[in-house]
This record gives sequence, structure tokens and C-alpha cells, in this order.
Amino acid sequence: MPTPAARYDSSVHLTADGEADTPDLVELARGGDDRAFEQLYKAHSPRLFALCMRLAGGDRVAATTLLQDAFIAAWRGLPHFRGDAPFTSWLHRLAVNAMLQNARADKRRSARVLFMDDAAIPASESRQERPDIGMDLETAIARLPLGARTAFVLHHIEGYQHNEIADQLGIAVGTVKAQVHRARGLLMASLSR
Amino acid sequence: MTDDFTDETRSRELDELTAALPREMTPPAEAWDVIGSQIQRDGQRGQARTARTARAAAVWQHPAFLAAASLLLVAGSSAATYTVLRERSQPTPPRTASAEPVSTAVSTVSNLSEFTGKENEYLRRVSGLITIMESGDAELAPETIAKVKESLAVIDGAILEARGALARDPANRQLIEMLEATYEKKLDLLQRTTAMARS
Repeated sequence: MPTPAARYDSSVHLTADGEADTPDLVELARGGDDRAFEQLYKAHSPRLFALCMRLAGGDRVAATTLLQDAFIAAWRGLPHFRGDAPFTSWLHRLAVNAMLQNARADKRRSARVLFMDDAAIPASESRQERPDIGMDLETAIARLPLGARTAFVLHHIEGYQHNEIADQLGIAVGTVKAQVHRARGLLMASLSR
Repeated sequence: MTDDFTDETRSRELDELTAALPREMTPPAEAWDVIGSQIQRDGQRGQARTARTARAAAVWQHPAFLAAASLLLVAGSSAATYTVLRERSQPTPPRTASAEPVSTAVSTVSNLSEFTGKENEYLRRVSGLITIMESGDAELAPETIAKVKESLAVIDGAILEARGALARDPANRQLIEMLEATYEKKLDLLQRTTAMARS
């Protein structure tokens, strides 16, 4: 069964696993082809939305906003996209940037989702002090403090290395490792209940 | 030794569960409409617009769409409320101790900028109530929880659309009132649900 990209343009190549050959679509979109960009959206949005949902702690409204921000930023930034990194990685970076910008743009909201300064997270939000039971892993991840959640999602779910995450977030590698470690501890504690 | 073994087991279990998480989730159907509208409006690239302003290009070109969303919202949340009420056979469920009164739909703010602060307060209250609801899941029938979550999804869709419309027309008082009413509906549904879970 042809992918949406293949239906749109027979010149679009398919890789061995049937995925649309993104570089061709990227080139078309870079030239201002909005239909190609829509195909890129169709191909990449499910993966990116999963990331946005987790970064947003399961808030579907916030996740949709992040997704939209990321793709609009991608459209506007395509002329500057050099292809040094995979298109998917670039989109991921844009989504994380959108999250950071939203948090910084609104101080009141940032108090709720403040980034690496997890010391500001009220102790009552710690999983170890909450009586909830029967939580699944997705819910447990959503309830992690933002810094720990972001580091865990990017490292353990999206597969980024510590140094890549540090670069993306503009923080020290040691901080990333500490946040991942903290996230694992909180998640294991919640799973043991 | 036993603790080490237990930690190792839990760590392995966490890795296995993490590996099994879905890597893809379907975004709302209307998400592309906002993006597509914006890139159409951008025309020539390089215009210095912020991504937040981009949501102004939402599909709210037609007032009829707003009306349709409102109807969906009312129908969806009413159905969930009915389900909750029927389950407990209480015509007027008590509110939770922490529940705050639902305000009227008449807005006290006149533009998007003023509404932002109020929206943050809505988000805070919604977040708290969802936490309460999830912790009380076991006391409500799965059918009821499913209906509530289904309605919340409808309401979230309406909120997204209203926010997009408001970004495009920041001084539209009717849109502000619509958005406030939608948030109030969400709060009301959550408050009733959490009250039922606790009763």
C-alpha cells in the first residue's frame, strides 16, 4: 500500500521499510511546496505528537499547541535546515524549544512546568509522597517533575544520548544524568506500589 | 543483597515497560488545519511572526464552526454528567471540599491579554481536579470514566479551537465568553465527577 507521500508524488522514493523518503519531501517543502510539507506532517506528526504528549505531561491541549508550534517553526525554518541532522531530530528539537519558550513566556504557567529547577516543584508533587495506586507507566511519567520527565523521555523513549539532550536543553551533561536518574527512581517507586 | 536484587528487578521492569510504550500517537484532526492555514497566510517565508500568533489562523473563519463545536461540547459533557449522575442516583451531586464555585459565563475580561492570567488559573484548577479524578478512578464504573474522558476530549477540542479563534481576533468578547464557558464546563464536569468518586 503506497504511503501518502507516494500517492502525492510518484517520484518520491520509498525506503526498504516502506517509509517515505523524507529528504525528497523536505527539498520540495523547502522550495515552498505546501503539499509536500503536509505530507511531511502526515509522516512525522504521530511520532512528534507522542513526544509532545509526554513533554506536556499528558495535557492534550498543550501537546497540540506544541505540535503546531513545532511544525510552523519548521515551515519557517526550512530555508535554514541544512540536513546535518535527520529531519525527525530537527522536529524534535523544535518541539522541545517550543515547550521551553512557552514556559518562559508565561511565568505563571512556568511555575507549573518550570524546567530544570526541580527544587521549585512542591514536595507534595513527588511520587514518593502521593498515595496514588495502580498508575500505569504513562501516567507516572506524566506526573514526574518537568526536568526529570523531559530528560527521561528524551533519553529512554526517544533514544537521545545525555550529551545530545544537554546540548538541546542548554544544560550540563551532569544535570541531564541526574535528572534521568531521579526520574528512574521516582518511576520505580511508583511501579512498586 | 535483597534490596540490590529488588532494585535490579524494578530497573529491568521499568526498561521493559518503557520499551513497550507506543512511539506514535494520533494528533487531533484539526491540528493540521491551524498549521495549514498559517502557512497559507505566511505566503512569503521569513515574516517575523511568532508561533503563538500563528494559531490565530485557526479554522475559525466560519462562525458556524464555533456553533457546531459548542453543540458538541454541550452534548458530550451533558451525556457524561448524566452517566455520572445515573450511576450514583443523586440528582444534585455534592461538590468536593476543594471545589471552587463555577463562575458565570459573563466575562470580566475584554481581550486575550487579560484572559491569559485567568486561563492559567483555569489550567491550575483543571490539573488539580484531574489528579483527584484519576486517584478516584476505582470508585467509578469504567464505563463512566470512559464517558467522562470522552467528553473531556470534546471539550479540549473546543478549547483549542476557541483559543485559535481568539488569537486571531483578540478583542472578540464573544469568543472570550465562549472560551470561559468552555473552561467552566470542563471544571463543572470534573467537579461533579470527583464529587461522585468521593461520595
